[in-house]
Amino acid sequence: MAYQSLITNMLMLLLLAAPQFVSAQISEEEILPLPQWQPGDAPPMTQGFDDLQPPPLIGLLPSLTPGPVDSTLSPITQPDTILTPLLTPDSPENSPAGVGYRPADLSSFLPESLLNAGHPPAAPPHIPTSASMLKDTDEEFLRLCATSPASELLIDPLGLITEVLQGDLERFLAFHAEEARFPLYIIVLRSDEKLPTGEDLNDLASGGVAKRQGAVLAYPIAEPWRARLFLPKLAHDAASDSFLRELVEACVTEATSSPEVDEQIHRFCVELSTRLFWLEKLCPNPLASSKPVIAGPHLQEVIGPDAAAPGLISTAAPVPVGDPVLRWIVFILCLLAALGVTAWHTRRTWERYKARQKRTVAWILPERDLPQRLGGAFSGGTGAWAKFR
Amino acid sequence: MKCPHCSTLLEARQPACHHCGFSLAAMQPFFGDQWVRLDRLTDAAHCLRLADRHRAELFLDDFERAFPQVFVAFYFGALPPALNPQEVAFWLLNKGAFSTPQISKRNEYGVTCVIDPAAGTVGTAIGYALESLLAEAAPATIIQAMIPALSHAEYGVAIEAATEAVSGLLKPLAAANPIHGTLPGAPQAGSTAADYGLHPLRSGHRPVEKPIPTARSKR
Repeated sequence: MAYQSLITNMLMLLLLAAPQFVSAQISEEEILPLPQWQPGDAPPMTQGFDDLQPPPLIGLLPSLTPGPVDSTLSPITQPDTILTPLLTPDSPENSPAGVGYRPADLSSFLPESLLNAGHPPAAPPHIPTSASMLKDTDEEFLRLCATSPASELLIDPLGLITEVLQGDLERFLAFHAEEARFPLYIIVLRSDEKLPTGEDLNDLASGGVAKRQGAVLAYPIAEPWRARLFLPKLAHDAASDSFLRELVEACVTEATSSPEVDEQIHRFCVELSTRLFWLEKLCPNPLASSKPVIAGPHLQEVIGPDAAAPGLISTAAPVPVGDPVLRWIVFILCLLAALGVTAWHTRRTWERYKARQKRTVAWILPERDLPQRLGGAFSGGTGAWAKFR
Repeated sequence: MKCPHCSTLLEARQPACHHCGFSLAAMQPFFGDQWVRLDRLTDAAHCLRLADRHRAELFLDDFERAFPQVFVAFYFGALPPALNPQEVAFWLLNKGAFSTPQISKRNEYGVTCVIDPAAGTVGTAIGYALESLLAEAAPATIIQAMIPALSHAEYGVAIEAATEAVSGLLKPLAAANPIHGTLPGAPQAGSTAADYGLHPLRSGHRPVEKPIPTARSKR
């Protein structure tokens, strides 16, 4: 009896709980509809149960399992097309589970603009221009520099500097010109150009350099070690050559500490500005000075150390073709070498001729008989003797 | 012509010097009456370096090729105190069988140079054929060419200098004949070793046709 009553109680409990379970399922189905499986979604049952891979959820979630890339994925979810530097560290090798967790896996959760916003490709390293390949700037460039407004401190007629950097530099130079005694003018040259020898920069910027007692920096883009600094004569008189040389050296060192072209000119200008402030302290006060300002050319170049281009390895000595004296020396050396070779060849030919002559010519003497003397059958004692010691 | 011993003037066909009695027979007490075998370079004094000797042999080869009739022979050694090098050269030219590449050269066309490095003397003698062609001062010219090198003990250079001097003396007297011949071919069939330039050293010791006695026949 007791056993039957126990079974009866359990059946009653089941009947009471069943309606609640069914009602909860219905409420969930109304809120989140489950995906509908199609017959084509299932893979063919050609493998064993253990090797069976879960079906790909195309359009919902990318596969989390390693393996070949499914070509049926949409272009957005192709790993190769959405690989960005932002996601590359999450490679299969360093993923925590050791599973091939591809960057494409996160593409479903990130906006496309963020995925495509990678760093620009790194520029190839600049190869320093050899001295023989440098050319002077053309007349048009110099004319544009000379006719630029006096208020334009950054003279870049060729537009070699990017817009953002140009704005930064212009603001920086304007600030420097307001605060410092020597305003700084910068001429931006191509990396394979140089100012012509003996070029007068006093009329630069419509004469603004001469009027404002400014300093001029001729800066070849990407090659700060070839930058040329021109300072007013006043600065040259006040500072020693070693100080000025150290000034240029410090600027070049600071600029070459960065491999990026824009960063180099920026660093150069900042360092030069600082050094010009130091230089200003060495110069006498213009108000206290009773000397009148002498009109005329005032710019003088600072002769810096002969800094070799970093990374430039000279494989051969430059051929001295420019200097006529050197050209003559080379010509004479070549001539002497040619004469030497000719003489050697002539002597060798002559010796060979003589040797051949020796082998091909026999000298025949006439035969004469003489009566014998002193009992000798072949010689009669004709001869001589001497002491050699 | 002067006597090698006392420099007295000699006449033709004179068997001995009237003044000192010098002749070839007078040297018999020193060297005997036998012929001697000599090379072109006989270094009894062992003063020639090997390199000098090789170079001198090549030089003499060239000379003998240019002058097929003539040879120059050199003897380095200590001499008897009673003899001067000219006398020894005279004796060598008359009693020497000089081993030259062309063994048929006659001694009348020979020039012998005798150098005594210990005594510091040098002498030369020439054969009748050359005597009839060369001037009387020719031997002195050869000696003078050698003395600078000998004074510095450069015996190889002295050999070359003497040969050059002889060559220079003879060329104006000789007629240049171009050699048109080619290299000698192989001897014909039935030739002996001598036809190949090979001469047996002991051919006179035992007749070829006489068989070697065996041990049984000895008993």
